[in-house]
Amino acid sequence: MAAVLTHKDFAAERATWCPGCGDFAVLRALQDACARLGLAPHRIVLVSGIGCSGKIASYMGTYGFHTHHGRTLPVATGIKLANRDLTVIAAAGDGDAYGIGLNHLIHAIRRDVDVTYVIMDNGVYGNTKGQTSPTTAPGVTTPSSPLGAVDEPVHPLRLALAAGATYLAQGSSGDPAQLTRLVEQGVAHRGFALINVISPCPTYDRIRTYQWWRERLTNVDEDPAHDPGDSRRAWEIVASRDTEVVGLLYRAPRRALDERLPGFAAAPLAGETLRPDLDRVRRILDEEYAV
Amino acid sequence: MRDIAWLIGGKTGEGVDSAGEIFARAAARAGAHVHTFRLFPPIIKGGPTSYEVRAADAPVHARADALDCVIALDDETARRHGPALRPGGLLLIDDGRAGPAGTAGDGAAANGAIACPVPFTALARDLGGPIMKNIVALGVSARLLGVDAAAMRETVRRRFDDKSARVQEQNTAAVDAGWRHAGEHLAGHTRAAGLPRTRAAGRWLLSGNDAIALGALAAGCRLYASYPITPASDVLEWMAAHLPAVGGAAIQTEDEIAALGAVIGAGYAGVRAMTATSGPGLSLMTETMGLAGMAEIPAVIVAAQRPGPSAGMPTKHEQSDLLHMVYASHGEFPRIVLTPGSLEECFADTALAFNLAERFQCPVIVAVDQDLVLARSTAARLPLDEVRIDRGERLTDADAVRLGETYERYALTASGISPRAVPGQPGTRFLSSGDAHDHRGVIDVEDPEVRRAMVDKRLRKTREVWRHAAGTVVEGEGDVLVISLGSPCGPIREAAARLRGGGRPVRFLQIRCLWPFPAHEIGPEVARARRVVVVEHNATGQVASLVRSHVGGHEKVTGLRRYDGLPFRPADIEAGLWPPS
Repeated sequence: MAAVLTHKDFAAERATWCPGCGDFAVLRALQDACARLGLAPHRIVLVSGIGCSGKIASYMGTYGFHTHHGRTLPVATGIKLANRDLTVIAAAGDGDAYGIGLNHLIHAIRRDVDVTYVIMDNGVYGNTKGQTSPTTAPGVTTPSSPLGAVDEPVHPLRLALAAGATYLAQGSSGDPAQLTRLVEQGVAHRGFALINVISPCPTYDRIRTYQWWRERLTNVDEDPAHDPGDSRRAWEIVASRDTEVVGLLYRAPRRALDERLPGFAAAPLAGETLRPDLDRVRRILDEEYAV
Repeated sequence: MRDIAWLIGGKTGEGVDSAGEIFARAAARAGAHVHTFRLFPPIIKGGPTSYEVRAADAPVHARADALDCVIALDDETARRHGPALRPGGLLLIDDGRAGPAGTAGDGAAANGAIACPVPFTALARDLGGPIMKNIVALGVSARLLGVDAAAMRETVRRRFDDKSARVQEQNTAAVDAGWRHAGEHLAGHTRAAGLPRTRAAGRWLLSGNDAIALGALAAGCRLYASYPITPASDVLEWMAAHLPAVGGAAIQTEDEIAALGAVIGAGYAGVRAMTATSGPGLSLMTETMGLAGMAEIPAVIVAAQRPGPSAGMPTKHEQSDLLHMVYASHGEFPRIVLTPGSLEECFADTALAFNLAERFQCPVIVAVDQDLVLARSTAARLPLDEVRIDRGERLTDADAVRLGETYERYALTASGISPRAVPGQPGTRFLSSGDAHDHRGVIDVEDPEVRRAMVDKRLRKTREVWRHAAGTVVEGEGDVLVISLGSPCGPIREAAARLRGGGRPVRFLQIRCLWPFPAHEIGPEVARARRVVVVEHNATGQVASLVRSHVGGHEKVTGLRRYDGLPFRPADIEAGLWPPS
């Protein structure tokens, strides 16, 4: 029997985030979730974007791809279709996910590609020293909003539900145990799983601290009446609580992209021989092109 | 070479394209070598459109200098294309349409062509539908130009294979009605020499886009991702229809950024993947192209040019994105830009692009243009069996296990090429990154020595490219050197043959790989030439600027440029190379 895996089997470089950064808990939750699922590190790819969150690919002892800003999902989609046996996790910041790469999020949801998307949402552009992000609250002063942020923030949970997410959860770096469970369930979900993580930035956000969130968050996982299969209930929660909620909000079974593509090979494309059945191809061609 | 050029024109939605394709196919079936040229607007219904078919008794790769027969389903076609008729040519104007008879045929008549009214619409109406006027026109054309009636009927019937028996009968009856009408009313205009043809079996009629898609399939492309755009959408449609048959998939992404992102994801994971686009899409892909350059991921990008900038002229022709392909994206990294100039080269170069992308672990662009990818021509069956697959330096699973933690994904080798592992292989976990990194893949955005070593490593990879790809093809002798690439090669070869026949020798150098720039092959050619003419479809002389900056010869490098949205005709090249004195 194989040895039981621990988070240490998924460790790599030492993380260089600021002390107290919420991203440490996200990294640990990913490592613990993969260990609990018994996944071999070489069967996992972690795709990250740009900014503080993007560094996570360096710290996770799996295959990693640190891509450019906002494009984690297109790259992750290509990896998953290339090798459907791999576990593909995309990790992004709120700038990646809800700013520059928002277009891809909506389409990944409707495509329902089998990728787990973990967003380290700190409401600030930390790596460029504290400008507003798409999830910064109105009125907050930052270096790029010295007179207060004027835009309504993106509401990730409402947005994902409206786009048709089949796995929607929000966790918090303040509750690593729950976050690990949510990631574990998300990876196990066959389809696109979105886990927004409240990951406070102790350096640039002095308002929305761990304590600030703790006073506001409702945990639906602790509500015995909560049914993650009830979409109407999920709508009521995100309509009334917006982002001030944690737990598994909604989960619906649907066939993932690689299961829906017509004729798609059951075995990973990456393992296929490249030479197509030329006799078959020639028959098609003679039908189409012979004069 | 004997040839005839026939054109049908009308409004989009009137079956002009269908008629053109049927005529091309019927002529090819009868034994003619065929080249087609479509002129169409970005208007789905009601815009002016035309379809030219040139049939010859030898291979043709250019539109005709002048037309022999124009079928004008409306007056605008007569006005636009009538003047292109040669003396004695035929302008057949539909007189069954509403509206007063006008002066539409004047331009043709001024050239010595003959304008005849023909009741295409009226004849079609009698058979049950004016929409069949295009098919009536095919019957008339077949009789006048010497295409066998049975062959035309059979081609028309096959075109409506998926329709009801009644529709098939109506349309073959429309061919017969046109044939009879021509016999009764236009007998004096029959071309006595008949259709130019040769005896040949087993030819194909296909477009550059078809050839590109086939090259990709034969090379083992299993994932295709793109966003619809003229003139590259055909490749998406082809892949969506045929990749499932080999277990692969075509996905239509939300934009071109996502398309190239998915191609890079697949390339990173060890699968041959491709995208095809045009200028606007290529602009969107530029940042992502840099990711492939920095992370050393194979990616094949087909870039079919159209006139820019911005949306430009979406349905017209140009070659003004060449320097963009050579320089696109910030920073410095190796890339390869292949420039096929024919159907056969579209096939071969697309297949080759996959080998080069994997061997050199970099983006490879197949640079084509609207005329090259949309024109349908006859060709010998493409040699699927001859496609060689070279996956470059890859680790086996046994290598991966043996190397384990000592594996260096970006090892500093003499060639710059580091053997690849892919995710899923045991033992070789590594990070690929758009951030600067060291030989192991560990991000390093500080160390000047590492930076320099890694930049040099990446840039030296493509030094070996000439062992795997041709830089140029040179033919003919003469002290006038013509340099070109892409679709102008067809009209250039035809013009050069005529010039040589007239005692004006021309040496032609076709660039097959624009980047890395084959200066070592072009330099000696420029040096021995008296005059160099770079023929290209852009205003600023992009290829000429590369020639000048990489091989010199400033005083003798001149340009012949066309950037009005239309491809060169052979006569344009002839006159441009040897202007009448």
